[in-house]
Amino acid sequence: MTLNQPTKYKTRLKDILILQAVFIIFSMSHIASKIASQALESFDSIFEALFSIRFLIPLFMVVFILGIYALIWQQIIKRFELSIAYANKATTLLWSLVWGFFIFNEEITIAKIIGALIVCAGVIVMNSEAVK
Amino acid sequence: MNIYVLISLTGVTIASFSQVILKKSSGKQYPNKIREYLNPLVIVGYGMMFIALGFSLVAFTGLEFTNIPLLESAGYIIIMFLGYFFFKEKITMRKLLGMALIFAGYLVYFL
Repeated sequence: MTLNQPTKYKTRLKDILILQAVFIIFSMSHIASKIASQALESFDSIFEALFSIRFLIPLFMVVFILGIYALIWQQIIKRFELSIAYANKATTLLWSLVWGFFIFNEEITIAKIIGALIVCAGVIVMNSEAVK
Repeated sequence: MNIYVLISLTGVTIASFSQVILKKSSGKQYPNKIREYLNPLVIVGYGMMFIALGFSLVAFTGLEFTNIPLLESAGYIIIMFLGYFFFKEKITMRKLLGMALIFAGYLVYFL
């Protein structure tokens, strides 16, 4: 299964922007997952939940969002080393912070903002490996 | 260790291996777009990811919303090593620095 030679990729800024867009879409699946989990908790059994649209709609949304993510992801990983492409997922931390704040009224602190920005700096350093 | 943490990390490991399979598929030539998506590697890859999603959903019931990305970050390290073993991707100083910043950011964020 192992390749003999490492593949060289010519990565452009546009590819990185597409990669980031993919992870913004991906982070939205966390919103739907959380809503599905909250619905799940309100039922006595998982079987009861499986017949409720309150659980099935967010579950369907998770699958739908991940489907779109999957379609784009399969194209974009052709243009990156897997380790670099996947590291870009770290920016979902920033998006989780944004969605958590606006949708679930979760607490936002200075430490969280600084942490998310350091993570983004790390992703930029990783990407600089791809475009150097 | 919190059982939900263990469930989450199991899901992350399964998802990491699924990425290797998807990357293998993306490197091949296919006669058309449909075959590019409907082939054994992609089906197995996403099948594994679907199983990983099940683990995440269960983990969500016992963890804070913001804790999920922290646990999933273990995937970056796992995938960096899988990239090295399966695709001969180099582990450079720059990658290690980027990874260190990502983890430093996670620690600032969660501690």
